[in-house]
Amino acid sequence: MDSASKPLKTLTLASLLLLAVATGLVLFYAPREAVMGEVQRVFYFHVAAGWVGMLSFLVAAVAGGMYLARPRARLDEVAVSSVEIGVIFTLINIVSGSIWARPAWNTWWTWDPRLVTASVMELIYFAYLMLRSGIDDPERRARLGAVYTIVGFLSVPLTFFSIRFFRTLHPVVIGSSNPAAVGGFDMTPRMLQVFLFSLLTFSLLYISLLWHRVRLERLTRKVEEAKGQRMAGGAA
Amino acid sequence: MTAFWQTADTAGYLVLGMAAIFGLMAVYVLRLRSRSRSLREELEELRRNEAQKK
Repeated sequence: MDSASKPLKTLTLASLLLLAVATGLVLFYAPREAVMGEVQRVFYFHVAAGWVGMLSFLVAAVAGGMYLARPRARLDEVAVSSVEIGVIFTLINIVSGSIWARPAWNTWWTWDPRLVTASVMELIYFAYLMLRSGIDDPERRARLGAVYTIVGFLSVPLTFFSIRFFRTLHPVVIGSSNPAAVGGFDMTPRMLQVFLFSLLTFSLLYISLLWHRVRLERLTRKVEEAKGQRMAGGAA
Repeated sequence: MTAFWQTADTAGYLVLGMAAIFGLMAVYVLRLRSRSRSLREELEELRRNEAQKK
């Protein structure tokens, strides 16, 4: 991350600037929700983090599919980098949701379909990272990883549609919510503006982080190769 | 003293939520930086050792 290229530095700076603006909008521009009060403001970044998580897993699945069609190390680098970012942002989504749930549902956690499917999705991708770290052969690791990202992606639509298919406490903010949902609200034009701005900001942040993480993955490979050469030289 | 989770005012949860969001992001970015730095140092050392051998 130290010697980043100029476009990457510009992108990183732009995404940080947008994040600062988005935070300002969330705290000072978005109106206070009448029923839930201040805690509703968490929603803007909670949903944006969930969006980045799902987008990351989609990118990983696409990279995985492309790797199986035409194996190239670069695609594997994108897949593993994207999954790692997805795991972090899904964790942010789950933790911020739990904090919102305490005043809204009067509990930090409940075994609601959305919470369960999101947690299972998180564990599936966490297991992907663990599995990769246990395989030494880079080609085998990449091939297995590619298959895993495609199969693992089944958990993403399941999580996304869980609040639309099942009877759940979790509100659906865009579209009609289940009558049993608790904490739903109708977005005012200002709320919608802040919401869309937050989605854009987090998407840009994702691209920037992915770029940094792919560079790190490449560096890891270089170190692995240098170590391999050293060992081969020592053996000869 | 009443803790924020015992009051009807939800501002404390907003602070907690924002702290969690920014905290987790910061930890990840710092971890990326430290991984990058240590890998660079390792690569430098491997290359130096290789050059010394030659």
